Amino acid sequence: MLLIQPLASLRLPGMSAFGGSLALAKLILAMLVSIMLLPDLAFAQPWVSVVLTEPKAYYQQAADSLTRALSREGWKVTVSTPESYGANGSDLTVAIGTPALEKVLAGTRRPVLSLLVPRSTYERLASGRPQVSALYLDQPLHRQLQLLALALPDLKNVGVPLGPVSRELQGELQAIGRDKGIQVHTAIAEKNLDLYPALTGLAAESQAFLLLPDPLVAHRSSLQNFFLHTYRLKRPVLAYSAPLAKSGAIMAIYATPEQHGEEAAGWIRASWSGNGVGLGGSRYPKGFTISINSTVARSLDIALPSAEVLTRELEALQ
Amino acid sequence: MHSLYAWAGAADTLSEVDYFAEQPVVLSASRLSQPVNRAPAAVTVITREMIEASGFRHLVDVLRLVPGMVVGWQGGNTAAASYLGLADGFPRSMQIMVDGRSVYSPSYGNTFWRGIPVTLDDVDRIEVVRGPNVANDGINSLFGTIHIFTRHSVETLGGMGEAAVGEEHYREVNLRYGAETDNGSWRLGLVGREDERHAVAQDLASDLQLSFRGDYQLSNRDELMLQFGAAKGNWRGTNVGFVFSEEQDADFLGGFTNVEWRRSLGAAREWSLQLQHSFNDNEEDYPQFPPFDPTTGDFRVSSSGLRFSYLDNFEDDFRYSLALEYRNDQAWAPDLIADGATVRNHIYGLSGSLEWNPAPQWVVHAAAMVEHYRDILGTNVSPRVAVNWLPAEGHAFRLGAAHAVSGGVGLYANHADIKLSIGGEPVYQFVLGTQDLETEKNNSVEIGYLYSNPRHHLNLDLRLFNNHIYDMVDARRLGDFTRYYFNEGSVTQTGVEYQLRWAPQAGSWVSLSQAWVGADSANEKYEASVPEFTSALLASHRLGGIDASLGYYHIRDLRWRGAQQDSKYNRLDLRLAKSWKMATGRLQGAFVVQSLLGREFESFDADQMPGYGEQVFDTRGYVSLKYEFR
Repeated sequence: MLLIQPLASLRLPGMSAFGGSLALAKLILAMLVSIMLLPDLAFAQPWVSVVLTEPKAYYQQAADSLTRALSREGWKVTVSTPESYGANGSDLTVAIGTPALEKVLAGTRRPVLSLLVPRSTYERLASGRPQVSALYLDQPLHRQLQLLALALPDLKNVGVPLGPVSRELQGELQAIGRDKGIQVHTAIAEKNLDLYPALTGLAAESQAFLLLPDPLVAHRSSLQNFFLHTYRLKRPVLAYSAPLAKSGAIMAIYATPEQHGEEAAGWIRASWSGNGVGLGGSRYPKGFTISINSTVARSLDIALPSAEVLTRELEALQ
Repeated sequence: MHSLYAWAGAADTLSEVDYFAEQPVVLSASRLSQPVNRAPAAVTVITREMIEASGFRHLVDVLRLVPGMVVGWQGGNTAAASYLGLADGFPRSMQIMVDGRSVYSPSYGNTFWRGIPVTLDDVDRIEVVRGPNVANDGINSLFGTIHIFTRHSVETLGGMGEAAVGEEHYREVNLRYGAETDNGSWRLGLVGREDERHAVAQDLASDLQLSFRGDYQLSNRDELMLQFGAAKGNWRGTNVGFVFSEEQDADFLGGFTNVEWRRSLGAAREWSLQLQHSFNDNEEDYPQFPPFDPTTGDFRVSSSGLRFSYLDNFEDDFRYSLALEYRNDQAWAPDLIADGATVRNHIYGLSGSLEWNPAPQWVVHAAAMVEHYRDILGTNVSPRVAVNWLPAEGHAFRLGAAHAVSGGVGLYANHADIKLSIGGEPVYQFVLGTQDLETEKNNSVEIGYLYSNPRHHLNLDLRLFNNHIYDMVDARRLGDFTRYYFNEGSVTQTGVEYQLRWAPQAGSWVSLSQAWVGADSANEKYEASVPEFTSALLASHRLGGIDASLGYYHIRDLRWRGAQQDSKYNRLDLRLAKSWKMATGRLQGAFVVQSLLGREFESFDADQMPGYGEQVFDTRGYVSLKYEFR
């Protein structure tokens, strides 16, 4: 609307020669411009405010891909950090990262999309808040088990060490396991002391381990112990992030920050009703990336299909 | 404020940092071992589980589990492990390494097993390469290498206290504590031990050992391992081969430092720099026989080394490694070597290995070591080639050939000088070194077959081999009295060995190793020193919360070089153990009976004084109680 008035009142050279036709010319011009800008006129241009925890690394990568995808469609996107963020009139605020989400939830009652935040943390922070949704950082459990089954066709038993945060997934894990014909063995470690015996016990009945994010089980020092121990037991580990695939897991499945940004943009566009964004329930990302540590695979003498083949097969199952 | 690389969050919360933060490469290229079916040589892996089930309390005894390996003791202090024989009380045809640090003594080429400050509780695993491995591990690996790996310090956080007591004056206290720091972890261990091996008068031995290991993550790609340790032993008898009297005893002091800086260049590449120093100091008084000048069995040996290695496992079908090494070995033994002078050997080594997969079912290995010994032994090249063929899942064949060298009797054989003097003038010259000795050499070929059935938890490793060992170093009398060292004689060994492991269910497993070796030589001593048959069976089963295990070790008549009688054992050990989980930790009690079938002659028995007594290992038992907490 802001653009139309100046264009409509524009006096083009030579127009005055038509004298009384000027009003008509103005009308035609206004119509032409209106047609050109039809989408924006029909649905007021949406405004997305992006708040990213830090303007660098994975936060920035997610923000860039989100901004690029929305801007291509002519959306207005403004970017800020938690320090510079203030409530505004945007149609949607996308909070990238946990600190950003905490700040945004405290500052607005308008729609919010959480990005790059783990499900358990999101639920703790935003539980019961209306108009707040998340594209979880985690991959769905069924996809992780499907990947293990594709990569290790003889797989019948999987061990999953759980800690204070991941223990809530125990029931879901076992239900999915039953559905996929995989016996899921879990052991819960309440404190660091329990972890080593838990792993030893699980290894006796499991062919592979699934490592889930947990502040105890996947703590930096526990990880070192975890990978040394599982390697000694000759059990491959599926993990949840690219750094873990480099550190000692045989494979990892995750969505990259770029995938999160693009998928969020697609979700936002699809949820635009013309006068607001109605995202609905939170969801896991559809996109994923598989990393394989071929050095570990070779040492464990496990012949894995390539990441491309696994990706294709896993996509077909989704 | 939100550092990307700091560990994030409260103890009960996750954040995105848990997903994206860079992590140190835990399973770095050098930590990953090659699958045995793709390795260029046969490998026996002795795990912690096996060590515990065996009930053995000395590192060297555990090696009985290796096919073709014989373990012997003289008195309570000097132990010897010999793979495929041809050894006297100072075996020198195996390279022995603890965390990449060679522990053979530069003086005799042997190993002071009892003086290595590594407890069995520290050990993560022992990998024994069966077959010449000089191409990778350097001189002495004429028949193979024993790699002892200790546990990473992050695996031993918290405390452990163990007390064991048994017959034959056996007492042991083992203490360990480990903790985390901002960027790593460490542990400190202390062991006090006393035992009698053979119930002869001269074999009560006591040890006090201290060991430290720290692992520090300097950055996500830099890791520093720091180790040091010391061992003090008061051992009745001798460390240098002969007991003259009941009063003779040896005070041993050993120490080492080992520092390794490892840099990961991604998951598959790394380089490392290792710096090590170790020494062994022996004070041993001989009885004096006036009017001859007093003599002792004192010695001091040391070894200092620097090693740079580069490992590249990046390409799926092509991998290589390179290593450069410098070592300085020294020996001083006033009444045994070079008339009191310190003798040295400066060693420069360059080695490389290649692994190529021309097709998924083929692996081609080539490796070589060039070692230059500046002072003795000269320059030696030790190549090895091997081809693995994996025609079907679970089956692998290996064909290998190698040329390997051993330093013989080390600095001693080149510089030995043992005599009786009066007023500084030699009267009787017993032994004299021959300064231009060459290395002992082995041309070896082998065929290996490996079968693996993961579904039935069954693994078989079979090896047929032929070794032609020549330029053997041996002492011979010239004239009436004096013995000199020469390179002479050869032996051809042909043998077959296998190891089988079956783990039918959790907590139940069987490991069986056997070897038959035939030897052909013009020298009967050489032939007799090759173990015709060895057998080791270790089985464990969990029943009603009790771990019961049984070990059976057998060698048929074998006469160590220099021994007066054959060594043979037919040993049966039994262990029962139970663990209890406590509020703060775990308690384990164990009861072990050793040599249940009776007296076993296990000594390499060099010529000892009259009335020394029979060196037999008699039936005995011990109990232990161990408490671990974090």
